[in-house]
Amino acid sequence: MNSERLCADAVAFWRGSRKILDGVDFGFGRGELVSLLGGNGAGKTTLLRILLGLLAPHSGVVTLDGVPLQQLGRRAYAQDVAYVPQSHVAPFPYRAREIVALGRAPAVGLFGRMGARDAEAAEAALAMLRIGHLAERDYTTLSGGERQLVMIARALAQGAKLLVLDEPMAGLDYGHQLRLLGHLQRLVDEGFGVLMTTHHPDQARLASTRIAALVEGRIACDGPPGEVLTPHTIRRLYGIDPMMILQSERPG
Amino acid sequence: MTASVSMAAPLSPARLLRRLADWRITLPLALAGSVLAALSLGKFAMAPGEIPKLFCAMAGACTMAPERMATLANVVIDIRLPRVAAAVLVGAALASSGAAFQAVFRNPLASPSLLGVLAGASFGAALGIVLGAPWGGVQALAFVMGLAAVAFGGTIAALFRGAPVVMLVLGGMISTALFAALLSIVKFVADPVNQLPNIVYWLMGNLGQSDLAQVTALAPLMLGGVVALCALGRGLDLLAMGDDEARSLGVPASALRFGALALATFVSALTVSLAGMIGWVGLIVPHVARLALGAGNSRLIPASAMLGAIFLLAADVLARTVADVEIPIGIVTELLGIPVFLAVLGRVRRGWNE
Repeated sequence: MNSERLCADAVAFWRGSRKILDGVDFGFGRGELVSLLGGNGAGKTTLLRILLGLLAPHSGVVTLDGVPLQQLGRRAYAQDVAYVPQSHVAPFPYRAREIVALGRAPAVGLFGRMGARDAEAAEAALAMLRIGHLAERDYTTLSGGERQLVMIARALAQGAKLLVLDEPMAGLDYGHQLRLLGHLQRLVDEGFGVLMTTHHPDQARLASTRIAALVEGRIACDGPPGEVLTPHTIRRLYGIDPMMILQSERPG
Repeated sequence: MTASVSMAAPLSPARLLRRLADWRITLPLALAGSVLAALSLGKFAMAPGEIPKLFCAMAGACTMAPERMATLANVVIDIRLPRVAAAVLVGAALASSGAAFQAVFRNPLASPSLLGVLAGASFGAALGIVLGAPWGGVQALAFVMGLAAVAFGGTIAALFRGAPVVMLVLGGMISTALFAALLSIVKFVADPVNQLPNIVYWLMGNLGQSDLAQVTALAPLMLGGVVALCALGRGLDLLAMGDDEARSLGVPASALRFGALALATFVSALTVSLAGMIGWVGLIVPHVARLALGAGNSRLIPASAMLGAIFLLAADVLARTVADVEIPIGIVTELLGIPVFLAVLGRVRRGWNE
């Protein structure tokens, strides 16, 4: 049942007459921490939503372990792949434990009864990220970093081995960003697969096993951090020359 | 979830006490007590203990003076029971559908009126009164127009693609405005001596307008709707997280939202046809329940239903005892609701979006 690989093959997507994604081949699997880089509007979020089955590509196909997503039920998919949204504010004061327990929904179904095993799974997920002390807190009173960890714990409670994170480091301070990366690396060591979008190439280099750069709706390069993060790629990604910035920082 | 964790362990006194303090025990007990109190309170005085005795005598198990029994039966069964039953049904339906609306719209200020059901039902009832329809016809028109108003708002929302929740709110606003205008037209053409006072009176809400037969006919539908809303608890939790998250957790978000709104609209339209316009219950009661039990909808919706029933029973007792003339209950719920809302507002706000 445990999936090994989530893949997009020749995926294209238009918004009106604008081509957002243009023949994207991209995938990730267990044991990988993949960072997806791209400037604003490069199509990162669209690609993520297509991989998650939240958006249907206009052409191309997304497969989980070789099976096209359309042939997989939502619940079956949810037990293999979890979506970790950007840390958000819930409108109601749920306890952190309740939010994490919602991760059991794909397993027990909409009307099924949450049993002791599901409570244990939620507990284990909280313990794995070392946030058991937050269990009884109102989600709305947690800091951004804590909320992001609760969202990851929910994904773990889901039982999924592949995690898709949408800009997990947005809004976190430097310390929390690095701590989060540490948690993600530990999960990858334990056999999870992690895909995240990020705006921080330096941190992507630090933590990732692989980096993919999305430029104008195409994967410009995809490989080990050292190969991808060249001045040339940075220039294509962000339209700036990294060497120039480094030089301007040198004292007179 | 907490319930399932408690595995077979000996019941220590502390555990027993905690069990008894559980809302699943206290709220039904409080509701049963409120029903008994509401049956015994009123212009015609009687001791609460006489009610069980009356039921016992009617079942032939105990004895009671025949005259006293006839009088009590008339007051309790014929006069008070229909409105007590109506209060329970309407309170439970409004409060549980209010909680469902708040979850679906991810907004603590949502209430059953958001999609126009109350505006549509008001127009329907006023139209029925002006057309001289019998009381059952007025109720039916109120129900149908309540559904029609929501369908109208939903159609507007469906015409525009994109953020479905925002479009539904806008569709509801447009529908509410339309049916408020239609109501004004009906009021304008109504006979100011006979019909207009009836319309105004109906719009204030009144639990005493249905007899026991009507209440028992609607009861299975309303209770069924409330039970179905209770069963949707986890789905509503997931919807409250947002569509993308709900779908990535294996839930068909659009279908679930449609189902929850259809159920909530259906039961609130039934409340209007049973008792007219009764405001505030659907907005306040879920907040009180959320304060006591937290945000999880599996608990919130059944608890809201029972609290709503208790709230409306209390409001109804006040409405018929506080003055010589019965006060329309819609006025009482609004007057009661404001201090209750102010009392919980300070603590409720904590959970809201900044």
